[in-house]
Amino acid sequence: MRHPVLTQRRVFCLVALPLVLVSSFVPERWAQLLTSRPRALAQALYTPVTQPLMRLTGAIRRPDDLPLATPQGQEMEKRYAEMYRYAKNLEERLRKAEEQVARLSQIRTSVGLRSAQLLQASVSSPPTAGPAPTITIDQGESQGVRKGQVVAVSDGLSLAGLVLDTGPVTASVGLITRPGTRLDVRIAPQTTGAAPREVVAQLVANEQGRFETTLGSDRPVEQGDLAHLSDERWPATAQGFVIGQVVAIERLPQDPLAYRKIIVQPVRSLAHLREVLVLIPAASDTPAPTDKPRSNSSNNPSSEAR
Amino acid sequence: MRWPLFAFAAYVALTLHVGLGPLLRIAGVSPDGLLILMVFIATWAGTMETLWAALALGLLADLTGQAFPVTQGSGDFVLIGPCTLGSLVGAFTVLQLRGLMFRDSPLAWATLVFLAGTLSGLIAVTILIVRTAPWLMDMPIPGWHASDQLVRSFGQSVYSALLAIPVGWLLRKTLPFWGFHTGKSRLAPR
Repeated sequence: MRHPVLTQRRVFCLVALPLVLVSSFVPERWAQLLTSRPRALAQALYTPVTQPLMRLTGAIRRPDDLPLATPQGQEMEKRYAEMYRYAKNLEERLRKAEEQVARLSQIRTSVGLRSAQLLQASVSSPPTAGPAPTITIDQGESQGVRKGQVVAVSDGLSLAGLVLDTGPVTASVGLITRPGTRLDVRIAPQTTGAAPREVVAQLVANEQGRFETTLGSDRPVEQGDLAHLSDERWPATAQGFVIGQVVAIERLPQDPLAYRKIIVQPVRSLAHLREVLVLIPAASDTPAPTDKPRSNSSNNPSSEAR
Repeated sequence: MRWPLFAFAAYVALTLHVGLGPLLRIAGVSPDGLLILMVFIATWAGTMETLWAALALGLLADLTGQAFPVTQGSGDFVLIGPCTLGSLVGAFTVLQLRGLMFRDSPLAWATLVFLAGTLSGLIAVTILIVRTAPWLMDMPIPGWHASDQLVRSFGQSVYSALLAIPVGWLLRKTLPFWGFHTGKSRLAPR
């Protein structure tokens, strides 16, 4: 019996196996030549099926992408909104600053300040309880605040008090509503031009935070009139500031026909101040800290500062 | 063995291996569908049929570069040989062991897959070690490390063995269609 020469086993062992063995060790260039076409053929065969499967894989199992530092989509929108709000905020602050500049300029003009500076300050503590109410402001010597300087309400028209004491960054202000304080004023109606009538009087602060004075019945004072400071004991920068408004005119029980009691109330409640203006005079205008009002009245809350 | 059915099964195994490999990947290791198919054939087919089938499946693994993708890293080429020879050794091992195993047992099936996979990986890594060794062939593959490949190959064998239990059960259902000759009996479609 004759056995065939070309059997499967011989082909496999003598041809296929050595070929595979040799191809495992061929140089890179030869391997490229040898495998490029079969590889392309295999890829062409399986790619149409593997592509949908890989898309499915990508849909089910998302790749572990690292987050990029570059903001995208919603992050950009969020940042834009933040920047927009910030710009709006700056715009609002600029508008308020411009309003403040205009208001301060108006105040300077209205009270006739030429060389004095207006320093805005916030009230850092409310009026103290007791017979001599004082407030503390957040501006002190480092900002040029000195004892005896005039402090006005932030509207720039009403007087608040005098600086009694100063620290490096704070100052104490004695309010004009201290009971017993005496202030010489001119009482005149509200007008922009020359006052048609004017009465000189001396107001005395009472326990209720108001001012009182007694005037003859023939003196032309009406309810709603304003009392402007006209007191030589006070610095020149304080002259003309509004002390208050006439809110009541009462007849004196002792002599109702000859005299009337005039009640003046501060236009702005000094017990609820949030911001004030410190009038810092120019060097030449700085009042001497020891002028005559200092020894004039022991009842005057500002006399200590003067 | 019906070779058209083998070609179809090899194609399905290859596409699933390439397409769903990333989906099933755990810690950088994905199961080898071609290995499972090779063990299935080696368990039931004749010796020469098994060797030719193992050769074909190994060639596919080499051509796709899926088994050792690092061979593509050194240039735009793949190397025919490492996986093919590994597959042949794995198939030969199954051929030797299948007489000792209870072929219908899922555990035996998984064990065969694990053994064949481990041996295939060892052979392939050995060939590449020889190829890259400076005192032998001195054809280094940039970025390739034998230890990494061995660990990866071992993990792939374990993963494939686990997956082989359900897949083997499915393949066992298709056994009558393959036309395997087992000894003198023939498993034919009923």
